[in-house]
Amino acid sequence: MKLTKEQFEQLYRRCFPKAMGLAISILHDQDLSRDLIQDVFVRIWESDSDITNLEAFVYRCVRNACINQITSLSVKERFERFYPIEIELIEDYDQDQGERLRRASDHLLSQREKQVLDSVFDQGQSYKETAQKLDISISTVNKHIVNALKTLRNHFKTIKS
Amino acid sequence: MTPQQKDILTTKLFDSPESLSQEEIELVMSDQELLELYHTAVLFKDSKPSDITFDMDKEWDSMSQRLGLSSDYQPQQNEMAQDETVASASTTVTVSHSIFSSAFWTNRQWRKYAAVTAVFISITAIAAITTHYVVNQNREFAQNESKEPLTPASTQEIVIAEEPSEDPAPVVLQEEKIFEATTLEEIAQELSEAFGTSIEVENNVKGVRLYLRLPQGSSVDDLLTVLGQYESLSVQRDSNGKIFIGHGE
Repeated sequence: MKLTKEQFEQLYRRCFPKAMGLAISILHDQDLSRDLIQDVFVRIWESDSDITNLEAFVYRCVRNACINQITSLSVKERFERFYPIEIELIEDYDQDQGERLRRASDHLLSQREKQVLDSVFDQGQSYKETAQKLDISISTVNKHIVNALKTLRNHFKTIKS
Repeated sequence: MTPQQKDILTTKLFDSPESLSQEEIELVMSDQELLELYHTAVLFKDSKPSDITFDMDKEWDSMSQRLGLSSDYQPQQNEMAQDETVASASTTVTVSHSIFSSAFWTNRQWRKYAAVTAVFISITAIAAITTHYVVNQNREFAQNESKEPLTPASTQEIVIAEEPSEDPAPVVLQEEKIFEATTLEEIAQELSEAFGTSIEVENNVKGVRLYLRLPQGSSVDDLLTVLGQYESLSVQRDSNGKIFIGHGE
């Protein structure tokens, strides 16, 4: 059953924010995310298929489009764009997992480790900029990053086991 | 691999991945610990709450242009929708987006007008019936009073005193409810009290934690709309108004 223009617009307005949040969290690129989402909606607009839960369908399509985007890249390109190397990581990823990681970092990491993680991963600053800002050496920045990531990884490994 | 080599590789991985050589990439790929650290870092970065905002009207314009929708098509907008055109792409609170989406407000607006219209029609009908009854029962009184038409105020008094509404207004939240990483079981318990309705959660999703925000004035319908956004949940309401939340797909 083809959607009317009104139904289609309503669906787009309802799904776009969440779909963008999902795509940006995976691709870290607003323009690319918007293009992929529009591609998904073009297919829905042109489709005559009966889909029972359109919203869930949209989010699944967006996630799959993100995965396809990543798998089309070489391993080197994935490292460069900070994408997962193993696609299972995206397929298994759920919002709760990320939120648990954030909460764990709050109480497991030292203040300095949190500052370094925030600077490098959240603010996107280089090691050099982070080192200057925090008045520490570049090798200390790396040491804090590695220690913090090891702590988080071990924490979740313990939980899983 | 020596600790020094690992230091060099991790520095490149997290600071300048473009400088990784093919040989270094292969080294990383063959080292389970490095791969795990990298994936933990990716997950950490991906879970950053996003504060990106965008203009939904512009987004829709861009989409409709791409589809080549005819220029005479009037986009769905109303005053409330225009007030909420800037939507957030927050990954941690995206569930609340529907509360602010134009569709949601359009529906609420519709319900508001429908409710006002229904009350107005009820008042008018009941006033007519009451007037007729009074005229028949007390002709003398009616003759004296019929010269003075009922005022809206007196009509309203009659309605309230003699004809309580059969369909009470839907229960709405008296205050905003915000749940942060709260289990579905706890959310259901609190909201069932707030809405005065039974909400049953299946065991396999009781422990699911959600970020949920329901603004003041939200109804059960709004709750169902919000929960319906989750692919992993299936939400149903039976004829008695009881809500069932189970595992989706």
